[in-house]
Formats: sequence, structure tokens, C-alpha cells
Amino acid sequence: MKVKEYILQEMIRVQREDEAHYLRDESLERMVREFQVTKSFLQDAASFYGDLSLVPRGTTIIKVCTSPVCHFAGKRELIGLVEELTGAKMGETSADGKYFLEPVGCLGACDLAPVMMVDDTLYGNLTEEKIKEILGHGVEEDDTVEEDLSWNMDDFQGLKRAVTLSGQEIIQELEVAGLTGRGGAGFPAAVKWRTVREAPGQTKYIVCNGDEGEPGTFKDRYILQRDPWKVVEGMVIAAYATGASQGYIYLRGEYYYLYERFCRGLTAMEEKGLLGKNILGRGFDFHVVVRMGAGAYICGEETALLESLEGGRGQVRTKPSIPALRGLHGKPTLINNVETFLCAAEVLEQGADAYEDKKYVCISGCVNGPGVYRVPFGLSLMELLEKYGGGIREGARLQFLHIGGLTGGCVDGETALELFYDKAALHEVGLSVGTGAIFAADENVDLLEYMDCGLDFYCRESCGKCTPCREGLYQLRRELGEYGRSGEETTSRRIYRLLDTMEAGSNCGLGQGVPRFIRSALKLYERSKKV
Amino acid sequence: MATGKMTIDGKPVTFDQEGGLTVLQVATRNGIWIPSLCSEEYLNVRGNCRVCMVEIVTKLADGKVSRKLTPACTTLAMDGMVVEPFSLRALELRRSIVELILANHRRNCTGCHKNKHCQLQKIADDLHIVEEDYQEAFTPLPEKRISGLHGILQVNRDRCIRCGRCKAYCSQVLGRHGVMTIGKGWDMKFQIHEAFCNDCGKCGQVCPVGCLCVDTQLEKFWDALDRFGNQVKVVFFARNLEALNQQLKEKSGYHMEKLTKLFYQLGVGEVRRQAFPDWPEGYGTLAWTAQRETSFPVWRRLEETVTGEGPVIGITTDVSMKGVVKEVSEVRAVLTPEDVELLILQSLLDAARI
Repeated sequence: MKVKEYILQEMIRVQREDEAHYLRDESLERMVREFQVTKSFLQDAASFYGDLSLVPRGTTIIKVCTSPVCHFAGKRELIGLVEELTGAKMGETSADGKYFLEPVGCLGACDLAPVMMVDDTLYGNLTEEKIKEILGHGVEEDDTVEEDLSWNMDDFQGLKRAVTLSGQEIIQELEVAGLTGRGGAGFPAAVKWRTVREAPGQTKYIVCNGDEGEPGTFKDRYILQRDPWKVVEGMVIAAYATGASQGYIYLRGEYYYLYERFCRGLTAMEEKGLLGKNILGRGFDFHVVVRMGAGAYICGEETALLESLEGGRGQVRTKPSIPALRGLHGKPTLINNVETFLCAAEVLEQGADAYEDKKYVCISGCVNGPGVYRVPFGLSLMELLEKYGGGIREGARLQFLHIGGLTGGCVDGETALELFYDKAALHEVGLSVGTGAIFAADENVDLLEYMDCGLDFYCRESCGKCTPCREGLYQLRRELGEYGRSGEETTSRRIYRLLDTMEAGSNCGLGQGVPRFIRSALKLYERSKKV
Repeated sequence: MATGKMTIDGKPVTFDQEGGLTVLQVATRNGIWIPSLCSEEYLNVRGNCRVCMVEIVTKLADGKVSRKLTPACTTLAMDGMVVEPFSLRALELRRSIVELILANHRRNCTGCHKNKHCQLQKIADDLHIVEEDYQEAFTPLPEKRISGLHGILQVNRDRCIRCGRCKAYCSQVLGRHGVMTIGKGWDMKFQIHEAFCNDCGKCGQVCPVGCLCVDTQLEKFWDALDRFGNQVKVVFFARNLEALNQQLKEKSGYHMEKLTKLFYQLGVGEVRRQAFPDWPEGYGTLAWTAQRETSFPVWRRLEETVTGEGPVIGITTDVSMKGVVKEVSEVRAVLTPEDVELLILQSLLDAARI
């Protein structure tokens, strides 16, 4: 009997190997026998994930990014061409069974917007010509970067220093350095690490959250393409400090093109004694495996990720639920973002006092140089956009900045440029660093359309567990559409009532966070109407 | 056992601090009703509907007061807590949430089996929801019965409030996994997996609204009596009549003898009892169908018991027998002990009026 934990991975594997990219009845029957679960359990789990299908899809899966960034960068105009060339409509298979167009919220490549994936290959900066080439006779150049991933033993100074300290000292370093989580919530890393360390029990886990999916965010992809070993180093340090012996890297399904290489690298690390048994001869063991996601944004939420790792639906757990105390399989689990583990390794390498806190920001939108940049805190947003982002594009006028991710706040162009990019300054105006995403929207971005696009994403990606989020998002989208048409006061009142309900009543950060986005965007919309 | 003290809706209550109890559990144990649609103690279901929102009032060190809205079913009871389930903020939030639920729920209460027993009705009524803000969001769907079985369970998908109780009961208590969730987000649906459902009706009993209903059949008894008077025949049938007698006594307070008297008083023509100790065991009618050939004699005897000239009302608790008997055309209805309990109540009320 196979371990239940592996169910999702098996379904992903089986579907990949299937010509029509779906889970056939026979495969499900076989899994029923192998895992000793019911078929209804498997169908239940499979239906949760956007990538998995119980009906035939097609020989080629085309993932089209539906995030607002791509939407306004050209996806809206180009989607018709894609549908025409493939003969399929969004969310459907073409008549000849060749293509399936899968709508995905944010493929994690907003600097190359608009983006689409053909099976595991990413294509960015799409134009009509490029799409015709891709869907016609294939294209030589693709944007799934294959960076040189060699490393040498000198690269792991952080870990080498960490193993000379005690777990408590390591955590102390993180505290002095003031390291906060980089996944968006900004929770103090030292507190999390300490909670896991002090939690009772022999079995503990380290989980790296690689389910980057927040629209506008693509820094984790950047890090994993260029320096994934530093992330693993951070995980090993965490294992040493907390007493964990098993680690997982949860990689979103859309980053499958990193999977093979990752596994090879982990094996290489094991051979060099940096992972596995008796790490650096210090007598502690730590093994890491990579597990794939399958197209569900909500699995970036900690507890939903754990549910997914356990093999089933990625449903958010009822809060309060603290993974550090009861996480994977009910054991104390440390979950941190990709960037957080990387920074932790750097803190140990440089020493807490010497550590310079920097942030990987993702600049996208109407700038000359969209991309990922590592910036110190405290610069003004104007400086960020000019110095790093290459400045606002010629002929474009900055309408607003959307900071922190789709669940972050929008701030109008003028005010934005005066703001300083650091936690305290942003907090004062009701914003936050979030994931590090900074989307620059020009005048062509219609606010109502922007909100509608975002809400469409959320309606699909919400786990559906709790009433305020599941029902609220749907009603909100309807009301906003209505409000755009009529501008009536009663509709506006209903919208704010929905926002209050979602904020106060939702079970997790998705339902609680969307109101911040909508409130700030609505404020801008109201102002623009008065002008 | 450390005893904790807290105040719920102004009423001081105590609770066992080591019990890991939630605010909702403490309230229930002390007879305080906090509206809730999903939470069930014996099932691992909490925090889905968000109807049980309460306001927790905490006095801070500097004298200020902090007020936090949180679901009662997920909040651990702590010593010194002040819980206000009906504060203005809690009521407003609850009202909005219930309105959201109502918006995605087909309401034809008078045509619904759970009418007057529906928990959503009770809560909405208690909140005095007269005007509703949110637009209708449900898609009307036809009522379904589980195909291949005998229609004890009625399914009305457009009344589902996604509380999760049905799935929890079927998986956790029965271990059958007959209810699954399909999809996520707005499109999330709870669906009966027909291959695993044995029409036991338990999910219908735990469903708080009229989505999953157990067909009570009682109206058919009264209708038969009205139309056919003393031609109606009542038959108690079971594998073990003693067991049926026990269940009837437990549920309705009356055993078969007293019930027989009652039926004659009501005008029923004949009351019979028959035991079928050789009726095959098994899950519902599926197992029976499989053994139909070998079970033919006992099936014949059952058929003979229930057929005759005129309408028959059967009374049993055995699901598989019930399913079989309903195939016989003279059988108007098959009642359960719950139906009998209701029947007695109704007849007593009628008698009082006369």
C-alpha cells in the first residue's frame, strides 16, 4: 500500500504521461487499489486542482495567464488569436482534441507580460507574430531560463557557520537581523523558528513555500532559477536549528520546468555531505524532497499547502491553525517562503550585525525595465522605478501603483512616487511590502476592468470553504459591474457592506485581504470620476 | 480539573479549562443558543458557515477595551472571556452572512420537506431578515433521487449552503465517502457519489436545510386514511419484531400494542405484524438485489404480507426491506419510527381539537 501523502504526486505523474492529459478511470481504479482509498476521494481531490482533469483535455496544454498584469499588457487583445489558431475556447478542448486552453491566474512572469505556456515551456512578451510562430511551427527561443547552476563547496558559508552555533544562537541571529517572512505576511522569522524549535515532539518538518502565485509576483521564480541552493542551505540551517529531519519544497505546477534540475541538484548536495545523512560530519540528518503543486493559487496559503502536501484537496484549515505547533501530519512544521530561507542563509553567512536587509522586488507594468531587482529598504518609490525599473515608458503616464501583490493596496501615481519603500512608511498609508510586487499601471488601465479581472481570478481560486469569501467574491464582482453601469449610491453601500463582511468574517488571508485591494482601487475610481 | 469562568450574553458560566472547549460548546452546554449552521460536535466540521460570529470583549492593560469578531465554533474558551453573541457588530455581521447564504439558496419553503424544521429558516427568522441586500445567485435545479435505489434520499442541489456536514458524516462516521466535493471556490459543489451511496438517508438527517431530505411519507398515511378509510391496512414488518418494537418505543414512546390500538382508533381496517428472520443482511437494496435468487422465498412471503385488497401502510426500520416493499403497488407509504413519532403528535393534536 502506497503512502497517502503521495496521491497528488501520482495523479500529476499519471496525467502527464497520458496522451490526452487526463486521469482515466483505469488509472483511478488502480490508485484506489494502491492507496486503499475510495474513488470518490480521488475524484474529490483531483477536482480541486486546475491542472488535473477527469475528462480528456488534449495533446498540448496551453496555459494562458489571466492576471490583471497580463490582461492589460496585451492578453485581452491576443486571446482571440490564440483561440483562433488552436480552435479552442478558454477552458475548453479544441474540436480535433489537440489543444486545451487552460486559464491560469498569474504564471509568475509578469516582467514578460503577456505570457503563456505551451506544455512546460514559457513564452513571454507575446505579440501576434510570436503567437503565430509558436502555434505554427514552434520557436527556437523560449523564456524558460536555464541558468548555469554549478556551485562549489565555498558557497555554503552560512551553513558551515551555522553548524558551529547552537539552535538558539542561530535563531537569535535571525532576531537581531530582524528577518521577516517574505511570502507576503511579513511575520518575524525568529518567532516562527523558535516556536518550532520549542514545540514538543521528535518529528518536525521544514517546508519551503514555492507556490508563488500572487499576481504581479515573480521573484521566487527568479531566485529558484538562479540560486536555489542558497534556499536549500537556508532549509538545512532551519532543520539544524529546529531539530527537523525531513524537508519539502512545494513547487507550483507552473514551475515544473525547474523540477528535474532541482532534484539533480539535491542529489549532488547529498553526495557532497551538504544534505542527507550526517551533514558536514555533524551527525544530524536532513532529507529534502520536491513536491509539485497542480494549479491552485490557494495552496500558497500555509495550511492549504500542508493539506496539499498530505495528498488531498488544498483546502485551508479552520483557523486558528498554527503550523509551527500542528503542521504537516499534525507535527510542528516550519513553513517559510523561498526568499526567507535564502535570507536566513545570508544572515548566518554575514552575521546578524553585518546583515543588510534587502528585498527582491518585482517591477512590472508601464516601465522600461520590468524585472526582479534586489533593493535596500528606504528608497523612495520614484527612485525604485527610475533607478531599477528604468523609468516610466515613453508616452505613458503613471495612473497608479499596486503594491505588494493583488491583495495589496493601490495608490495613485502622484502620491506613490513620494512614498518610501519600507515597512513603517508603507504601513502609515495602509499599504505593505507584501510579496515585493510593484505593478505600475498607466492611464489605459481601466480601474473597474482591473478590479473585475482580479475578482474573476479570486472567484476561481478561492478554496470555497467559508461563506464570506466564497459568496462575497461572487456578489462583489456583480455589484461592481452594476456600480460601473449605474453609479448608484445603494450599490456602493452594498459593496462596502460586502467588503466589511469579507474582512471580518473570512477564514483566511484571501477573503480578509481582497477588501484592501478593492477599497483602495475604489477610492481611486471615485476620485477619477470626480475629476 | 481547572474550572474557568466566562460570560456569554451577560450570563456567567463555568467550563472545564482542560477540555479544550470552544466558546460554542460552552454556550451549548449552558443552554445558551448561538446560531450556527455548520458546526457539529461529533463531526470535524467547524468554521465553514461563519454564522456563529460573536464579539469577544477584552479589557487591555491600559484600560482600553478591545473588541474582536470571531466565530464561536473556532474560538477556544478562555478564563475571563466576555462573549457577546448578539452585540450590534456581531448581529450586523451575522445578518450579512446569512443574507449571503440566502442569496444562493432556492427558497420555496412551503414545497420543501424541511419546512418548519429548517435551521436556516430559524436563524433568518430570528434575525428578522425582511429586506435582503444581495442578489439571487443560485441556479435552479430539478430535484433528484439517487438512481437505482428507492428514493429515500431527495437531493436539491440548489439549496446547498456548503456547510460540509453531509460529507463529514458520510466519511467520518460511516466511512463510506458517499459525498464528495467537486471543484473549489464559487463553483464548489457537494455531490453524492452514486456508486458509494446506499440511500441510508443519514446525510438527509444532518443537512440543516432542504438540500438533502429524507422522504417522510407521513402525509401519504393521512391521505390514504382520508380516501380509503377502513380499507387501509397497517403492517409492522422487520427481520426482528422485538428490535422494531424497541426502536418504536424509544423514538415515539409507544410500543406496537399501543400503536395497534391507536391505528384502530384512527379508523384503520387491519393491523398486522410479521417477522422475517431470514431476510438477507447487507447494505441496502444493493446486497438484496444480488441475492434476489436465493432470497426469493422470503421476498415472496414479504410480498404476500403486504399485498391484498386496498392500500397498505408499512412500518419498519430496515432500509433494505423498506426499499423492496415500496416496489409493490398497493403500498402507499413506508413509515419509520420518526414518522410514527410525528404521527402520534399529530393525532394527539387532532384529538384535542375534536
